[in-house]
Amino acid sequence: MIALAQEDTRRLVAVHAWAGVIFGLFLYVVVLTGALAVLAHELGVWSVGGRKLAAPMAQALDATLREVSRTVPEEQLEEVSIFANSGADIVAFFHTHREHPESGNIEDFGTLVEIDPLARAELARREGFGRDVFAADPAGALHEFLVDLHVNLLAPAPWGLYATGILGLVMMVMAVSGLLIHRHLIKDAFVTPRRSSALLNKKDRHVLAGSWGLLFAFVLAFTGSFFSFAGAVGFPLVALTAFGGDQMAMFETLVGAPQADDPTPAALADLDAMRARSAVEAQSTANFMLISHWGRADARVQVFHPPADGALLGSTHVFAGASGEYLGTKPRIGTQPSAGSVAVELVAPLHFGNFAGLLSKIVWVSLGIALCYVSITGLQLWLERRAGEPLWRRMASSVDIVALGTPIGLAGAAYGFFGSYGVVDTHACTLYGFVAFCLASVALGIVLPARRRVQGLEVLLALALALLPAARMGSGGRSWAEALESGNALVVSVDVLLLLTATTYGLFALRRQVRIRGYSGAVSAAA
Amino acid sequence: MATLLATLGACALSAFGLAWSASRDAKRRRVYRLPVLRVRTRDRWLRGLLVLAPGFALLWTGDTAGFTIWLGVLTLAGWCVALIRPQSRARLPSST
Repeated sequence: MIALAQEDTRRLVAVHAWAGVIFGLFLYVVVLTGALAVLAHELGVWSVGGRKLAAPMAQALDATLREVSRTVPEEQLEEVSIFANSGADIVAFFHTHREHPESGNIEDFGTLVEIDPLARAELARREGFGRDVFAADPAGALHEFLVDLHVNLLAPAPWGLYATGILGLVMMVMAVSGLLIHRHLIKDAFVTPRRSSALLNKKDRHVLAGSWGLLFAFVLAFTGSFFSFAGAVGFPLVALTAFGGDQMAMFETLVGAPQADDPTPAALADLDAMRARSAVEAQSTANFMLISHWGRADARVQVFHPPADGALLGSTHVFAGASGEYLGTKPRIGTQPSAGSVAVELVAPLHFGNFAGLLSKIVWVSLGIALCYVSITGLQLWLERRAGEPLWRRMASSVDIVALGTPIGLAGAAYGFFGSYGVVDTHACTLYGFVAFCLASVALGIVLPARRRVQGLEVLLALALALLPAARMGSGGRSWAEALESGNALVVSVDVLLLLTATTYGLFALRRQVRIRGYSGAVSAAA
Repeated sequence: MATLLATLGACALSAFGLAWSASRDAKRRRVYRLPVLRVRTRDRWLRGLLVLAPGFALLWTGDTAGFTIWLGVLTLAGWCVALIRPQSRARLPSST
């Protein structure tokens, strides 16, 4: 129990409630999209109908990459990033750095090559600025849209990032104020929501979910805010305060001094051998490689690995590119292992929940959905208490529309993706699908009478989710038999999950129908 | 596989400990008009140990990923256990 003066408690309740009323709906959208973004990789694989092999980055790539490297302009060998896309094709981006004519910023410019890791053959090639060549690949459109919505709320950079960062700070304020105003956090931990009145029931449900989710609300909010503000505000502030404004000095401390330039031509050592060595060191398969100065004596190869079994943090292994000599691991911050570097490295797994495969992701998705529940029940509690006032009644309708309209809009994004995949601009159509389904939800929410609103939106959500597997298959995606045969059980699992969620919402709508009928019957009998 | 099983086992043990604690929780029993049981300090410690020990055992063995998952599952399991209404068979008659 935290003892506070009555006046202090009243103030904190006001802070908690008003922060929730003003930011609650935005928080809900960010948390819901964040919960789904935890599964961004899986949704990406599902959207393209599965992967052609389970571990594309474990395949032999050296000969193919070496062959491709001879076909790109020499200046683009300055840096090469290599990873696997949703369909398990290898993406190699040979690039240099150049001023973008529109933004005026120095950006990556080069040649992106897609490689089939099984046939070891080039599939596609595009040249241009990084953001353009990556955007031209339709395969990542759905999960990239989901992540962009979560990170930027569709607002232009950097304002979207600032907005979600501020929402993270608001969430922290709400978690702390919630902790302080709830006097009996431990004593009430197991008290089931009371049924004596609808208002008390809503309050108990909100308090119970909020109490149990407190720790993770704080962790997710803190790590999310860190991502929003570290690059844009945090590092410049560190440069200003600790390094007297000298950004180069700061980068040398944080990243390490740049190595001496040596443009002497030298063949790159065997990439597959370096990857095999780092896999032994990291005890996991690499998921990203970065090669700098390919074909020069000062070439460096960095191999990034996800966490090993039972570990929370991944690792980065560095090799001398020309000799293939193993140089050791590279901490995220600084050149030597430190507590600060570990603290910074912990931010990503704690925010993304991607440190132990599907199990940790399922737990993180559930925690995110629990926090969505806290946001919506908190808003409903506030509105129930003011049900008699017209302004708040109007807000009640917007809570229903946003609560159900957001998942409907996300289903719409998937329809936009499937309807346009490989035909027209998939990235744009994914956005249009989201906007169209959101507008349909708003229209339905306005047209339907208040007592039918939630039910109508639930029916729309159930239909939108139930038809998604058919839309996926209709757009050329693998059938369940084909998916299982090719080892893509994930595709079937996501389809089944969608059908189960659709059934759940269908049952919710049916239960409401029974209640509405019961209520109408009682009114008729009374008349 | 062994770490996965250890994590799942720890989560199951702690969830059981939470369910046991909820079934003995005095306030919860009072709210639902169930007879309040006399709880010995030793039992309380035992239940606390059952809830927390599996997670800290994971941490002690160096399974930091398992420990973090266990923390998340503990949060969810506690919420779910609290949401379930107690059985009404043993309910006391209402005073009103």
